[in-house]
Amino acid sequence: MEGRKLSCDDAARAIVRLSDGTLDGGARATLDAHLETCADCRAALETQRAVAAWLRSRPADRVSDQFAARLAARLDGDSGWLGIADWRVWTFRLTPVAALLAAFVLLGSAQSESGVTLDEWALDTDDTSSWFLQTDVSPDVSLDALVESIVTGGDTLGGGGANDVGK
Amino acid sequence: MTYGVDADRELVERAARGSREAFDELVRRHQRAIVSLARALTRGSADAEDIAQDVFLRAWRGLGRFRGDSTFRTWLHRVAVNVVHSHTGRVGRLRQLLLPRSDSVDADDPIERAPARTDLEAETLLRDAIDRALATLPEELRMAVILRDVQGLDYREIADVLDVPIGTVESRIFRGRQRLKPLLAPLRGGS
Repeated sequence: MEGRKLSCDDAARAIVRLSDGTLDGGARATLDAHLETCADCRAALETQRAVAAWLRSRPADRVSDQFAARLAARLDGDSGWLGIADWRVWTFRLTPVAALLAAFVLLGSAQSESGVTLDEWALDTDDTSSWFLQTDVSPDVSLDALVESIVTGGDTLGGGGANDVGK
Repeated sequence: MTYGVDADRELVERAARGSREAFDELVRRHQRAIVSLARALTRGSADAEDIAQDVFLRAWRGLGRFRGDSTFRTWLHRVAVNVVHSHTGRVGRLRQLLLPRSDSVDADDPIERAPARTDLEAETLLRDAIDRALATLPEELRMAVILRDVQGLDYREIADVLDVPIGTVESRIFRGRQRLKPLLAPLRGGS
């Protein structure tokens, strides 16, 4: 870089950097050589420094006290109906639900592998609520027999249905 | 493009997982800079805070798309530039329809020339005068100068926000400052 002559156009970019104090050593030497012979660029450097300093002295803006509260209200509103479309709802807030579903799937899978069905598990208990899990109605049971069973409360189905549990 | 340590990284990660508390802290950290940017880019518009609110709202909604390729500050500035751009486009079109000749810069504005009575007024007048001077620049020069000299972003950050090469950023800042000198010098008693 050093030794290369700069045009004024090339020097402009280096002048910006120099005015900000971010010009590195090699480029600085090249620019210095140009500035020694170019009054316009020396003037431009002064302008860049002055304007940058003036702009940096721009008084800081004040933020109203209500800014945070107003924004919070808007964010709360955004988390309502519109929030349904928020990707976070689906990826994070529903994580417990997804975990629960996964646990059920795993549980079912493990029981199947061990050869124990939900029916068998239910029959091992004395809890009458387990009757509702009974599904092993004989495939050859007619609809009429099923209706009669319901009406009479008797065991007309055969095949070891749910009512066998109490026998 | 990779960046160094992002002071906001942990908060951003928590906010991206849905933590409003973390996002509120990010707002507290950056609200002043974003309001300042909005005000400078819109010539001291009274809508600056509303624009800043839109920026944070859009940031909250879009946090999932922030991949950490830049710092959060840089990304937030990019969001702000886009929001301001669409806002000024909307307002500009309305002005053209409703107030065709109302937007000229008036050098004899009595507000600018009135003596300041308090420090706060003096601050406001100086800030307004600077913002008016900035408003005379073409948008691409104005953006670059404001991001550098008002917001204090470095050249790489500005290039990222504006999506232009660093050389273009340097060139725009140079030309912008050169144009501003005759407008700002009288404010500072210069020639």
